[in-house]
Amino acid sequence: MGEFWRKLTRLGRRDELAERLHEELQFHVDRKGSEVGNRARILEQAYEVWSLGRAEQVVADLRYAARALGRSPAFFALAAIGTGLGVAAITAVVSVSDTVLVRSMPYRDADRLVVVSDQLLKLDFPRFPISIANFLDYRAQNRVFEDVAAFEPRALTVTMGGRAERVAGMMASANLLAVLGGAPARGRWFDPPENHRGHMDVAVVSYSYWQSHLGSAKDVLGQSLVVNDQPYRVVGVLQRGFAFRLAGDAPEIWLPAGLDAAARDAGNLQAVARLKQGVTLASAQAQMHVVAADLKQRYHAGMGPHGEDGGYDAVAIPLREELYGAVRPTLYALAGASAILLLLGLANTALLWMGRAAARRKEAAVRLALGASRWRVGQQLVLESLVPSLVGGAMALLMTLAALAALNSAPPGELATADRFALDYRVFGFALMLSATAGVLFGALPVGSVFRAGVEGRALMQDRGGIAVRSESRLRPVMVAVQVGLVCALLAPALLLMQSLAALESIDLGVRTRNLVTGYVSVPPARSLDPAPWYRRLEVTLHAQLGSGNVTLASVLPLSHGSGGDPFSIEGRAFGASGTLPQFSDILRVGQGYFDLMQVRILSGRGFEARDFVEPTHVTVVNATLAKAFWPRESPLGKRVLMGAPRPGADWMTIVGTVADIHTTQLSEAPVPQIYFPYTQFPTRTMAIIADTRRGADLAQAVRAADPTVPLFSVRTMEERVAQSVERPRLRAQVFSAYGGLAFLLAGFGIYSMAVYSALRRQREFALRAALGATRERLLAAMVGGILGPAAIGALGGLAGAYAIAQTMHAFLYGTKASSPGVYLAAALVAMAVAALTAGLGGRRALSADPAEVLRGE
Amino acid sequence: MARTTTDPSLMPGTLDLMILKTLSRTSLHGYGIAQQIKLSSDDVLEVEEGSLYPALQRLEVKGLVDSEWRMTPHNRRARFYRLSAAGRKRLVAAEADFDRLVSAVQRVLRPA
Repeated sequence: MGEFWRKLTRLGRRDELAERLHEELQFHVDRKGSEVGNRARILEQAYEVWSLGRAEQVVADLRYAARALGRSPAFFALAAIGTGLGVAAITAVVSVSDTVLVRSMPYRDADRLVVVSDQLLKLDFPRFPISIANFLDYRAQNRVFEDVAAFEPRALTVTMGGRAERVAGMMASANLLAVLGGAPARGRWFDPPENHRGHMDVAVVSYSYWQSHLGSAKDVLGQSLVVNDQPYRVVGVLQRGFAFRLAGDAPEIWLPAGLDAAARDAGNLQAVARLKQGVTLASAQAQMHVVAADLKQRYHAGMGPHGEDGGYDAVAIPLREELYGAVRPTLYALAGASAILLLLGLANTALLWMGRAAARRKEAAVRLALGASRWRVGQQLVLESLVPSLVGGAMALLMTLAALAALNSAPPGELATADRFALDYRVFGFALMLSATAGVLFGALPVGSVFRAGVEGRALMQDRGGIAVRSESRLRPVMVAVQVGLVCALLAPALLLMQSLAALESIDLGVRTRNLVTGYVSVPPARSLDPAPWYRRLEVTLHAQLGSGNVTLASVLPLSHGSGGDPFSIEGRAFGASGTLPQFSDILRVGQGYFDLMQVRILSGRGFEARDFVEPTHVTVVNATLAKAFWPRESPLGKRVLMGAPRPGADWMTIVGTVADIHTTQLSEAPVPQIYFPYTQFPTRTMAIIADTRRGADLAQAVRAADPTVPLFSVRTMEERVAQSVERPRLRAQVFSAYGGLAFLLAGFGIYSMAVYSALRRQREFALRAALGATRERLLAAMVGGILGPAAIGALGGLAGAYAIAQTMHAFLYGTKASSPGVYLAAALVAMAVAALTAGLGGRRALSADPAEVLRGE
Repeated sequence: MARTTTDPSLMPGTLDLMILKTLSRTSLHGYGIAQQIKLSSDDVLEVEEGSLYPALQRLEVKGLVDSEWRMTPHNRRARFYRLSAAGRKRLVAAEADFDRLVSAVQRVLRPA
């Protein structure tokens, strides 16, 4: 190896080495006083020593190829970039998809993990939290799982050194870590008794929390941690990188979930189970049905709020599906687009090489005529064809590595996984091999026809109408069709996504979004059992410090709430007996001045008044959707409603106003029924503060003034929240637009170079026609016309591909149909226009020669 | 015991061996090497320049010797060769091989 390397380093400086040797020999001669024999022979032998043998020929041919390609840098760059982009795109996308969809999740034997969930199908809850009683029965009764573990994500307030901080937490059953196959790095995990009252004051922290907040202290075990104003004893630190959650931030603090047997409707658990070895998902699913049916019969589990049948069942879903199911369509669409980009790169390479075939044939013929062996000329042609593919491949490798490194260092988002994305060398190798093959196929083979007897002479003469040339002119329209088709296939999905994004962004949120800053506070139960007085004090402080018109409270911010809602009752009516929607509603507890500050339009009646916040007036305001669904023909004003089922002692709330809808869930979801309450009359622990940005800087200070131990968290402007909600659609639209744009450029250059080439070859014909009176415009029109036919055929084929990609997208298309004809028509027209335009430009360049010159030149 | 696998026609390698041996004492230029070999062999061995210089190139490419340009005492630029670490190792092995070969040849020529 060292020897080869030393020879390689001598490769570029042989002249210098020879000169040195000469000097050395001269020195010898001078000292010796006589000649040293045959100096030329010595030099020759030295050259032999320096030579790399066979490898050297290849290197020489590569240098020759590099020189040849260097003479047409535009061609070389286009061929290399065209190849590189496709290879990079497919490699990156498949690498990521492989990690997310196929490779193991960071848990032991992860494909045996399933998420177990309740569902209340008749009440429109495909996922419903599991009660403690149900969870205990699932654990005890099933025979398909090794074990079932419970967890419940919960944001926690940790107080440390007088400062309070909001931290992602997870309540867990003692068997969770064993089910997942994790281990503590220090100390221990929970013991089963710690899931029960009186023993729950223990905590386990994540490795990263131990490092960032506990100073990686060796004596962390036994330390006290104040969570939600309660002391907990740290008993363990989890292994580095271990995380588990179905959504949201990775938990930093783990606490025991309370599993004391309780009523069948108490508890808010989620569950994960490990299938026994050899048990299929289908049989696990069947068992869950049986267990659920039994529970339903014995305990009437899963009753609706008014005792009706909720359509209760229990399901088992593969963990992988639960974690990554949502990103699968995006990855499929991206993989499809990348494959198309790769094909386009190949087609582009083919067109580019075809444009140079004649010149290279001539060159090969000259070399053959000068005595180069066929083997050597062939080897050189193949190498030359490989160079752009290989350089493109190297570029692709760098691009992919950079992209994956960026993904790995980015904060975990939709693709949250503890696995790092690693480059999939199989795919890279395959894609590179494909492009290298295409390079040789289109770069070397057409030229190789020069080896056939007799063609040499013809190529040397003026190669006009040879066999190879004829097969090329047959292939050319095919390649144009392919390129136009591939552009269509990428352009249409990009247009669909852009249309969808525009539709999303044009949605009226129903509330003011400009110049508002928002943040959350949560008052721990230990601070005050009833949060209302605490919030009342906060509100007074906020009003005093920021001005009463500039700040308000709300339990739900726009675009922040999950789907669903809570059941409510209407006085004098059976549950669900009227209305076009399920009798569920979002509950919005709001502070004084909410409707004014947020500019929510009051449609009838009134909003809340100051007295509604100080005395129990039992009033409520509903939104237009709720009013229309449940009182389609009359005014809801004066009617009385109640959250939950009617029960003795419950206060009915009188509707005093209706307001316009606002988007509480997602932009893409129609507004749901909404019921507003003055927060004091129906308090909750976590509330958002909304303030005019002019006083935004003072917000944190005002909260601190009200209570320094309650943290203000998740502070964002309203505009940021809106932007965040369309972040993914925007990213998708941008990525696909980039694909479309690249396709556009590649195909444009490909067709342009082909047009230049074919026009140059027909220069004589054109010159003749020009001499006979044809105008330049006529000639150009003829050339462009010749492109349009194949382009149209290609566009048709491409639209079929586009439709296939669009199908994988329909999950994330909003207000746009995957079959929207306008989009496809536009894509086809644009792609054909590109073909026509570039063909015209190419032709014009070729026609700029003087016809008389051309004719004389032959 | 390992048998020697030395090619019986070792003679072409002896030049390399002699060069390495010569350089093991001091660094020398090509002319010096030729002179030294001649001197050491009591004028029996005369090294052809046509073999010496290609051999030096070969040894350098193989990494057995290093070279540098220095001034001679007569104030002329000359290329001096020096044994590398790899060359020193090779010399030890080659000397042993050569000794084995020589004693084998002697046994053949003068059977006891």
